[in-house]
Amino acid sequence: MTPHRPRIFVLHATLGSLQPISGDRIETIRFMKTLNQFADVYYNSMKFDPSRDDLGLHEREVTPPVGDYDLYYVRANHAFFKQLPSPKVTMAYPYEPEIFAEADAILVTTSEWKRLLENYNEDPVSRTTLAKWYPAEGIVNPKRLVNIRQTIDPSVNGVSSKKIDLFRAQLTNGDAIGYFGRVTEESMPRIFLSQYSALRKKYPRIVVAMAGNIRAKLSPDVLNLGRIDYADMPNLVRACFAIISNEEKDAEFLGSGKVLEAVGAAIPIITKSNPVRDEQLGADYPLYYTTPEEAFNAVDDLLSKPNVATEVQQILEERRRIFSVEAQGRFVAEGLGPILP
Amino acid sequence: MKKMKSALSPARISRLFSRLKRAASLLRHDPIRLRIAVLERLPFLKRGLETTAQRWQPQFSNPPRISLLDVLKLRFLLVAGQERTVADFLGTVTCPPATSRNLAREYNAILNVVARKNAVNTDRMFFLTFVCRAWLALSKKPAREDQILLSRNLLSAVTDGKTQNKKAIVEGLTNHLFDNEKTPEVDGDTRPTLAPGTVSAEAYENIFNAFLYDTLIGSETQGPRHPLFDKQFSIEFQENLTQRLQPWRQSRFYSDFVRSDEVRRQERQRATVFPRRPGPTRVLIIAENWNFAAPLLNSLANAGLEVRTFSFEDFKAKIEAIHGQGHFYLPDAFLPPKDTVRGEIESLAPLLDELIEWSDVVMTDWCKRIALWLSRYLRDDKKLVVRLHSQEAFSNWPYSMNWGGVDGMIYVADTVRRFTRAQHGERMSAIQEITLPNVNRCQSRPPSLADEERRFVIGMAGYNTANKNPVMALEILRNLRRGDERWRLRLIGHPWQSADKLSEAERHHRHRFMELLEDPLILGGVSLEPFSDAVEDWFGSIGYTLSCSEREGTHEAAVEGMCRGAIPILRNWPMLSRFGGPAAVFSGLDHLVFDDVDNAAAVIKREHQRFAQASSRASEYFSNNFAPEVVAPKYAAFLEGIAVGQAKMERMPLQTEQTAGVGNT
Repeated sequence: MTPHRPRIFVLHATLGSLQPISGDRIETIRFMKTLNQFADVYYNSMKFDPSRDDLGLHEREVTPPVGDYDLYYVRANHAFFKQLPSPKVTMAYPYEPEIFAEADAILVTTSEWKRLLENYNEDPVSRTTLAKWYPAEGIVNPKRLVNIRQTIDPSVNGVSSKKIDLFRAQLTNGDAIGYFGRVTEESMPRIFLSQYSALRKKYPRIVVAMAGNIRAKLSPDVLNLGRIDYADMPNLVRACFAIISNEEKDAEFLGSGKVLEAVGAAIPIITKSNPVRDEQLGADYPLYYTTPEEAFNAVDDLLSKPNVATEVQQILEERRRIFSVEAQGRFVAEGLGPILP
Repeated sequence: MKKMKSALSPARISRLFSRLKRAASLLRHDPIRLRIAVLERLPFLKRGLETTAQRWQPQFSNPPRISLLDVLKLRFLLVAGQERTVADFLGTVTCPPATSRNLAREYNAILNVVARKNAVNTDRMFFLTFVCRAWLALSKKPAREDQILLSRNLLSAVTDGKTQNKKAIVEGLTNHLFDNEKTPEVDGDTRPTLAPGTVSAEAYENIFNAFLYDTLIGSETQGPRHPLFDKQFSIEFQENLTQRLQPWRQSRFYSDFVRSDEVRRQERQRATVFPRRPGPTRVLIIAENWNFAAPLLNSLANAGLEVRTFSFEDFKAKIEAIHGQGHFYLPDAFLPPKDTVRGEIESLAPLLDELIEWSDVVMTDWCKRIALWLSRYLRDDKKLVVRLHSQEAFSNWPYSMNWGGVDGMIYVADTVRRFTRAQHGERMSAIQEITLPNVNRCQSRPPSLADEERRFVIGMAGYNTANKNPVMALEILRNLRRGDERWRLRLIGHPWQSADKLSEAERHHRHRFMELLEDPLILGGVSLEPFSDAVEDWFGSIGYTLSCSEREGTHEAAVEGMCRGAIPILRNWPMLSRFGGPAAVFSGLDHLVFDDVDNAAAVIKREHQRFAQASSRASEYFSNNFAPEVVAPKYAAFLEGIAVGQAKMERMPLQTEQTAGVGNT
């Protein structure tokens, strides 16, 4: 007998359909691919089909769910969420007291985020860390907090050597270190960039390249690739020698899709140490930094010590298995198990 | 009612247009046309516009530059039927809108609308703007009335199609330009030279452009593209090349460029060349797009060179920041001192500066803007190699090159070399040259289908332009299917754009193509397949690669097809037939070249009779002439030769004893 596959309804904000054109939407699509491992997923009542380029979705007005579902997941649309029957879940941000009270589970993408929310009302440090996101007076304790982690998009495997070559050419055919996503004055990886000149002096082939929604003035020795299609990101990541990730405060509890993309592509990540990176890459990962000197040493080690490069590859391979869509499917099914039929 | 009669404020106008633009986007409609159409159909708006137009007095700043608000005003004036005012305004614009691509697009759309309304082609409108801008830039203190009068006369000259008037205007402007010169003595050279103090770069640039378009190239062609891309004009140009080029070679512009070439050559000869450090030759490749250059990276590295790259996209804005749009391709007299420019590059683009310092040879892919810039500003002790494709041979970029700054030329095909040399050879005599095909990614592999499944299947990769001539492909299929309905044609690539986005000539071809698809003899024998990046297997599943193009440089599809055993069937590309056509690109494959539909069908039927042999010979031809491991070492040897000043001039040694007679027996 075929095991029962739950039917899950998904909606992202007020979007009738969904395309991978921003971090949040990409995140939702990846989550649907994860849910699809053990459930039939419907976006705005349309059957989600990850094997198709359009994901099986077409432009359609947001309407109340058609048919019965075993679970409803709605992100950033509180009015819609309130009209839905149980069981229903939503992301932990944006915060809305009524929603936190009503939801059968609140979802987060990292253990650290979960820990901070669990301790929010009692622990001043948690409140300080999350101050930008949640009210100072405290939050409604959710019925259940579930860490869904993040998933390596299976489409990361769909790479083109031709496109990788095109990106390599744009990256000076050198040792490119990529920084991708929204680039603002706040999100600029300043600790790493403080070592850029010194690194280039020692390794002239190194070049830092940024791509995405760039809202900050870049130094003239940083390449600006502008916006890149989501479908091309796996190729761009593979054209890099390494990537760097966010250093700002929020990165200490938020997930990071770009780190997982690099894990999927087996491209080293040079990253500021924090609890989220520990969860994603393991505590023993050798390319963490906290100070500028450590950032320099991470690159230096990667380029000059073959054993470090080998160790990094082994760790990435292991983490790729942990965050694969199949493993993530099992992990999320387990997390949501208590509220699924 | 009172409100309807009042003029529309710029803010209201702007809001209205934004909404219409959004609507156009939703309806997938051309935004300019939709806006114009809506405005024309709403009487109250039109009345408002007319009032606006009557009240609007163009406010000229110094120097006048076109702004977004100006573009909006122009649109309204057009709708309100105030074309003369538009012409007057265009006559005041000394600079094209450089601040934003969107703005430039809108501006060009205005020109198109004016052209349509006057039933003239857009090329003439571009000519008009060149001339108007030139006149203005030329006049130090223009009298407003004179300016407007001239603009009106120019518009009449252009819209009435009075070519003689137009020529007279260009001649008048050119004379005016050179009347402003003085004759200083430079290093004992008493030849006249231009004096930047008396003639502005803008004046020179615009009159030069007008001159090239009209006196040299002619402006009787259709569409906004470069006139040489027009088949009829191009053929006529080639047939009368000497006569066509005479005005250019006798012009003062030409002598200015020749003089700049010579000055640059001497500068570089005087430069201190440091001894080469030991180790592999270091090549820096700079490209405007990487489609053909990216495969070179690994191939050259495998051939023993060190290769770094720099993307022009990252540099374009910086060049424009230094020079203003376009002004770097003028003769020396108008250019800022080299030391100043190089100093600015050091701070604006330190990566490029370092990579140039690192390199022994700089190679540019495409003879376009970056080649023009480097030919003037590359450090004197560095070598410059330019790879030129068919597109540039048909453009005016090479006219503006400083050939004194170039050490080596790589032509992707001998046809391209011959046509380029016919136009510019006398300025390129000191340059080493070689003809080498593009390095491709194909790895020789057997076909993916058995011969029996391929020998009735013709393929064509890329079919959505008149240049590719898919109509001829369908006609060839019809001819073949008259005798045997097993023949099939597979077309792969992007589909045609919708008719409203195409030029008249393209639209006509598309219409004919669609009509032919319905032909009962063709119907059922054609498949249209979507574009794919990975076409190797597709080529392995067809028997013949058809090239019906009017113009091709190398026709990569034919090469990729041979890699997988598809036999190339090659039209004698009319726009390059005087320079050898495909026989000059695929030496020894003359028997696969055709002139017309019947001829093509005969060639295909003949190869069909000896399919297995012809297919394996095609694979062999690829391996001997186009395989990366054959071509890349030739690139490496040429670049190394340039680096040490010992490059040998040679053509690509296509064909071997075995392949020369493919299928001739």
